[in-house]
Amino acid sequence: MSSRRSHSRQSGVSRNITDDQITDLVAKLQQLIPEIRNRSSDKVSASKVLQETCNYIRSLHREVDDLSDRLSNLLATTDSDSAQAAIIRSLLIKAHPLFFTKLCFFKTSLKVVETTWVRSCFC
Amino acid sequence: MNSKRFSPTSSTIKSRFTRRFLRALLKINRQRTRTPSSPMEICQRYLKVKLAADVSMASAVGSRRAWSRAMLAKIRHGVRAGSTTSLAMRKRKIYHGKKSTKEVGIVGNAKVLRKLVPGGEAMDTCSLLDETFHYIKCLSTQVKVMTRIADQLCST
Repeated sequence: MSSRRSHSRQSGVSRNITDDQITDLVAKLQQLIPEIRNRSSDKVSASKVLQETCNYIRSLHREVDDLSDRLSNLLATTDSDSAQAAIIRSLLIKAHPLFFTKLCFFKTSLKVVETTWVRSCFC
Repeated sequence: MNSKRFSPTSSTIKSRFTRRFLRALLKINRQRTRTPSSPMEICQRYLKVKLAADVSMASAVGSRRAWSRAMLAKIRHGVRAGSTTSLAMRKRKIYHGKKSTKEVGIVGNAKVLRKLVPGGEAMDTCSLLDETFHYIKCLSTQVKVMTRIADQLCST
């Protein structure tokens, strides 16, 4: 009997902690969703936040689908070599901006070394 | 100190995703045939790009998040089963989505959210909301990066 009472008390306490955590997480989500963030600072119900979250995730999925479609069409229509070059350029600049600067410097110095070696071979 | 200055800064999820996705696009571009594409080939290429985006994002996050682990497991399982089922699965997902928007309240919406977030069905509500928060941030990063890449390819 006492174990049952203590169990119900424990479950009540754990439910309160979970409710607080859920409230905090719902507030976090509220800040992330542009629909709710742009509205006035009125309190929004948790179910409304979840509903808007679902709508926002669906719209993001649709955007990714559209962008994948657009990218695959671009790959199909642009010339293979220029597409390859554009992708490699993006890879170097976006992923490693400092590396790209280093590479340019390295390429220039390599050219100087190459010309010097060729000259030394034929002189 | 010089090496610290020139070594790549701590890689963020955004930069890891960008690198992996661009490498995957290079691979897809190399596989292109010279003959004009059939509708089947166009569809296949679209699916490859979409899969590359999902795989790049999930592997950029790694196994730190439950949603990325679930997504990678689903992709591995889907690759073994064959990619022809993916279109049918997407259509089924859309149908289920339309049906379940009639449910109201927190419980109903949480149910819908579980279907949208990868691995959501196995999570409790607290973890679900936490994973959703991270998932949305990663999805919006994915959209931003893909938009920039598409604009870059457009301008060439």
